[in-house]
Amino acid sequence: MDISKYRDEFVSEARDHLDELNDLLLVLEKDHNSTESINEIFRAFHTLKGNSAAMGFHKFSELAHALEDIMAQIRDKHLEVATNVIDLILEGCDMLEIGLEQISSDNEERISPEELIGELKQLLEEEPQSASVSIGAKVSLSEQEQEKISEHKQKGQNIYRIVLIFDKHNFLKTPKALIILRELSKIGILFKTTPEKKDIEQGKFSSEVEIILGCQKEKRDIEMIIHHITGIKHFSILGLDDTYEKPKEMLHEEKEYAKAEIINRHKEYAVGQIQSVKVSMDKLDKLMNLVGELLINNIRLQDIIKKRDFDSMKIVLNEVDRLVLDLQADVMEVRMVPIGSIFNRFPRMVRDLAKKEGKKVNLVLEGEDIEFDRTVLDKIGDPLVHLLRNSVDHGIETAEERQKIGKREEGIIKLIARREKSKAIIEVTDDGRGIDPKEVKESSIAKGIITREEAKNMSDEDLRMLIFLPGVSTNKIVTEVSGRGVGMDVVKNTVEAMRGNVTLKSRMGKGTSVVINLPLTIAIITSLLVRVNQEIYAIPLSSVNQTVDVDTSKVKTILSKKVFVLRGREIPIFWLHELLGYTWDNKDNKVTVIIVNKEGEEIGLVVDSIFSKQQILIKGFSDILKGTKGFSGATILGDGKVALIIDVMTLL
Amino acid sequence: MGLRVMIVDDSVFMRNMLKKLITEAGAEIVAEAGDGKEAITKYNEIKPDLVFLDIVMPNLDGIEALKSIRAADGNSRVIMCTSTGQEMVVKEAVNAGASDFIVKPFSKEDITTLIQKYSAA
Repeated sequence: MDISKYRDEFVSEARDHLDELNDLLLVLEKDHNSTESINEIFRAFHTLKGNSAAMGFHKFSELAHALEDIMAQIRDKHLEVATNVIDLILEGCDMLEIGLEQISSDNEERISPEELIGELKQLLEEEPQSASVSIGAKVSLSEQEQEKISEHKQKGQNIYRIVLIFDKHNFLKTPKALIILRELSKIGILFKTTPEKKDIEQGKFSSEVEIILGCQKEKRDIEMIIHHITGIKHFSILGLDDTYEKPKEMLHEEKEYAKAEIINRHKEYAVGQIQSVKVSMDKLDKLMNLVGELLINNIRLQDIIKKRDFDSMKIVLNEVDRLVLDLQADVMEVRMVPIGSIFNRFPRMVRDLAKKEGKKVNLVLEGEDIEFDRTVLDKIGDPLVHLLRNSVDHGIETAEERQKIGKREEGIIKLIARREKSKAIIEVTDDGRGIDPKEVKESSIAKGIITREEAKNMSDEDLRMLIFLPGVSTNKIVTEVSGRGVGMDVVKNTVEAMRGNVTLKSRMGKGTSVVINLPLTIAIITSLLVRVNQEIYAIPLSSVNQTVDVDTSKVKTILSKKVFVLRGREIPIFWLHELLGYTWDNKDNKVTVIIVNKEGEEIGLVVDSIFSKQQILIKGFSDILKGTKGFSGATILGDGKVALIIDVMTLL
Repeated sequence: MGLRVMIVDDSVFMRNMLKKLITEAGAEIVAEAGDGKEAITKYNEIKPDLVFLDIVMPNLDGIEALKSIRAADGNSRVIMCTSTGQEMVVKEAVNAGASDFIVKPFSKEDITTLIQKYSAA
């Protein structure tokens, strides 16, 4: 039997199980006695174990087995649900996910769960000792070691406690640590290293190494030796009994890296999910029917040509027109994916991030079943992750702070999707401290984005909007880990590239709400085709308010700007010809004006004539043209000509 | 006077890159070699202050060259140029007395820091 045929099914089912597990484990974390969750978790691991073994993925299966064992012990009340237990199980789920992705992409598992399985087994043996070694504040020595050290001390040797911090991600950390050990052993005796030397040799340390050194040399000499080797982030040379404190910037940096990794892991998984879409048989049947009818009409058309029976042609074309529209609508529908498929991952991500910050946060999801075009979902993941992260980092206060000001200990972040007419709306709201306009002001002034003078005339709202400018909210470490710029400016750009917009509301002490407005679909839009200097341009109907004919004598010049009055309001008017680089030499005393909406402001655009209103398929620009001001893409017209699509936002 | 540096790498491209970065960092290139054998001969002739030594090379690899150089001159200072995936060899180099490591592709900062540290000593 060829088992590979079943792989996709296995992967898809395992994914469902892992998603479910993430949710269930979070429930269990909140309610340690939820028997129902315990049983369901047990069953999920059990199924994963069995299925993966049948597929021949043994590492995956062994890990699932170890997790199943833990759940059995919890179910039978032999093991308590403690935070470290949940953490290990979640870690297990993460590894299973990684394994699953590897299986899914290249049919091969490259995870090494041995260490984790060991830790899980230790839980059962009631040995709570963690396998990773961390450097304590005070030195810890065995009696033997102490004796040996005091012996040398009496002989007049200086005893030092040296703590080195390496870059965790640098593969050269092992040789560099070994060089230091080598060099230090040349000048004295190494009484102890933490971790032990054999572990250092195998690279079994994350970033810190402690060395107890006895020698005749002064602190300065040791500094010189260590200083000479590159790639060491930080080192402290202490007396034996001194207290070691990890430098603050290291702690901060480590935390940031850890958080960036959390985000990357969950995001990749969430986005990877929607590489395939489940389509119901009903929808497929409907599509097939439509295609069938199109085929029939195709034959009819050929027949018409043969018989030169052009009278029936119109009827057939009408029919084809209807079919194509139906087909288009159905295909768009198939492309729609419930946003829940990316939302699902966020509770876990928010939990992990909040934990790193020492905060308590509950993420509430609403509208998971609202469907979005797949292209939109692909692109909206990053902005949402960033907004959630902001809420956890900057919005929600620590539990103590919240208690002090009379808020519930647990912060609440709401992620809501909903539909309003032809718009889809996603909202990220937190009940945290809100954005302090003064803070934004100071940081923007410090970064040279606005001057103190400019700031004086800005309202609190204006100041808050500054966070959408490049450089105001960019996080260096996140950018480093994710390999691209991440900040509120990126959120805004991503959303606007989909012809949506972002608004922000914030109240000090009450919280912040960011609302993303998106068009339901971004591939096909209705637009007004206009003629300018013999060329056809498309203006999306969503930005058109109305069209009017204006008497040129009514156009006035105020402060070197041309305006005309419509319903008592002055509307600035621009000749598209000039904006597009043509000259306008029409002597007519009436012009056709398209009133468009640019960020809430009405603007008139003069064109030669209106050609038609039509559904157009947007073709994005290639990289070379991307970002061209004034245009958002191009479309192909019925006669095969290309028309540029005007982007009102960037036109002026 | 600047630090006198020898570059050993079988790739001319890599040597030129290193040469540019090292010179910009204020040191002087006094010798170049394309394999381990040439490196040993030139080292003994010229006695540079610092050697940048590639690991994977024809004729005689970097580790063997390092051993010979260290055996002939206990005060020699050799920086090994590695790529990821060479963890095992790297440990051998530590035992053979390598002074430090840099990883390809080199960054300007890596080279500058190294040159500064060795110029100060």
